[in-house]
Amino acid sequence: MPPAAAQTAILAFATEAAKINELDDIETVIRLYRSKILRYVMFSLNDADAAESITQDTFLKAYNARASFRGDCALSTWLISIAANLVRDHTRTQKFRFWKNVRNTAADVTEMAHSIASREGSAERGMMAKEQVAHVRRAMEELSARQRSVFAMRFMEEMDLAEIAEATGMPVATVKTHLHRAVMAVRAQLNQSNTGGTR
Amino acid sequence: MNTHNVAATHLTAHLTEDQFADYVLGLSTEAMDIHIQQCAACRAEVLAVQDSIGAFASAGRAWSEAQPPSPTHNFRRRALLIQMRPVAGFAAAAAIVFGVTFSTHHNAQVEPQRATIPTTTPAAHTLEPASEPTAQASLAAFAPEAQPDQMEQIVQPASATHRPATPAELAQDNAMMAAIDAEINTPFAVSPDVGHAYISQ
Repeated sequence: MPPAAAQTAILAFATEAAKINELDDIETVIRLYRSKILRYVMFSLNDADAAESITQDTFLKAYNARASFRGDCALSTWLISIAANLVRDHTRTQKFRFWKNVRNTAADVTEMAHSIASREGSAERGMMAKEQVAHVRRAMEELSARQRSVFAMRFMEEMDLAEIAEATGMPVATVKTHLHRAVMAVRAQLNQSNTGGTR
Repeated sequence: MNTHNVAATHLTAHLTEDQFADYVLGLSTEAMDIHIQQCAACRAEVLAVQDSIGAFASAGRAWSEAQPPSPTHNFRRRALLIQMRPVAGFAAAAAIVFGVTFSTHHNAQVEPQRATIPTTTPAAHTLEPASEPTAQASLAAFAPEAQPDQMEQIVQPASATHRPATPAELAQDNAMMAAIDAEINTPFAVSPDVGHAYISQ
């Protein structure tokens, strides 16, 4: 084996080992990625209890399957893919109704937007942010679970289309279609409010 | 030639829905960028959508950061329990099968023994009628509302309750065990393709 190839192989092995070690230290992994997984699940389901439970299950599943993590993608993408499958299973089995059962969390997020914007700007800016969040929230009501999931990955986690496709197992074109639908829903909601048709 | 190529050469009207969505998604072309710079209406609408989504994302991030951390001290034990669940299920099933088999076998042996009691241990036999009313009297003190036949059932000698289970009882036991199995498995029931892209099953 040429020295360069050997060096590459050693480097690949070391990277692989480092990633497996990273998962062995599950407490650190949880500390680093819990918020990310939690909000992704939360905005896919809008059910704080289910989000907490699925987030824990995601890490349990990742820990038990850590030997099969090959490091082909970022650890966060791998974790999101596990969470995405758990979310999908949850929506299939629970026949859940988005925004119908847990409105408190949605209200929390809207208030959160208000407080952030007020803190960083003026009270008026806070009110505007609150309205903006409410529009997006209403737009999300009209989306399918899959569209919401993809929307959360793109805008909340800032994943690009290829990463989303990798995490969900969907073709990039399908991801793009879902995102177009989501953006159009937000646009329609804003137009509706501008023309005085707020719900 | 698709719409984007047409747009790339010249954009005279407003952005189409697809172009608008592409722009918000960060997939704009040069022609789209130029159009947004020149068209106040499209620019305002794009900014409104981007700002709203941005506010939503910021609020969502803030919300998730504000959530209390979940305890991790027993995480490894829980992970191990999940791994052991199939083994535990098998052990429980084996215990049930063994228990039913042993009980049936034991009952078959008890009946002949009872038949021999009068000839081999007459004293024990003569004690039984005397002890039952005493037990019933004691029970009556604690449960005065109980009927005599109920008391009789309660104070029956232990050997009398050893009988083979009826099919209805077996069916009831099986249903109960199935419910327990379902209860054990339900909270973590996920499809086998969870993490399908990376987890080799």
